[in-house]
Amino acid sequence: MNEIWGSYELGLVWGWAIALYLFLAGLSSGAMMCALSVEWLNPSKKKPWDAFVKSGVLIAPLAIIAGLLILVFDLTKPLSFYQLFIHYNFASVMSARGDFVAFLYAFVRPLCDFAF
Amino acid sequence: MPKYAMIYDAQKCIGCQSCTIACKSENNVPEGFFRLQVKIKGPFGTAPKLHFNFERHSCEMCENTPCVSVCPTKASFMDENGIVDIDKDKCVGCLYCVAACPYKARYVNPLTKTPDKCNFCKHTHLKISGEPACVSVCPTDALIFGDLDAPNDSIHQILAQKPHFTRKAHLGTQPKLFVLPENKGGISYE
Repeated sequence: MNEIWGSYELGLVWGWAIALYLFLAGLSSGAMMCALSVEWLNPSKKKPWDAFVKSGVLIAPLAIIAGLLILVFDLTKPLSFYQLFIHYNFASVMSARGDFVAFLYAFVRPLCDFAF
Repeated sequence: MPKYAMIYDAQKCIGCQSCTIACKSENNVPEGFFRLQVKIKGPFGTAPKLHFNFERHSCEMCENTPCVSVCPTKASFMDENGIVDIDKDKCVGCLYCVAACPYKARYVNPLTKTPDKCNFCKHTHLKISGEPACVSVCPTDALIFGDLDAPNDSIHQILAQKPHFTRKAHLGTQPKLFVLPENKGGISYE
């Protein structure tokens, strides 16, 4: 007689989509770091090492954009995600560091691409 | 400003689920979800002396609220009466509050797509008759609703006289749902 009816347990709140987002964010920053270090260590752009830079420039933005799209559509109300930018709660890790830094990275990072 | 609190008397509770049903009908809680549920644990003991334990599971109305501090948009908030509530318009549905609640008091309403939970019937029964629906239907008066800021409220007398505890007190959430434990072996549940 543990349960009268129904279940009170919700189970996992953040599922595979969040895991995929974390992977894509890591992939993006890893590609970025590889590309930058090769760029700095190999200023003469010798083949085949410039492939790191080229693929990094491609993978880094695509991965973070895909990851953030997954993040937005994992919300139960994806169309109201803009509320995250209107209302801030700096006590919340998700507001202060999560979405803010991630979106900053997504928008500022392409500028770094163009700089090289 | 009142600071609403509730006492759940586990000795008086008979597990009849009147509160569960009153809550569902008062707040239009969808099928299969609960703002409030009384879990029946047991039977314990050996044959002629058997007993059940009852546990009220609902929002504990913490003073130090994990769900409010993690909400990125302040959609989860504590109002001026000390009631923890959700602003459905601000909510984006990240479900951080659901993950953060140590009491698992929240469910995701499939119609509004936002987390929902006990708010002491603040828009329904509390507004109309001054107490939540669960309190008004309880046949054994196992639920006592009161105002911690009113010095003459009977809730203070009960808390002063009877041993009580709050669930998961070690987390420092300072719940405003006080439990009077059943005396069949003292505090019977966490």
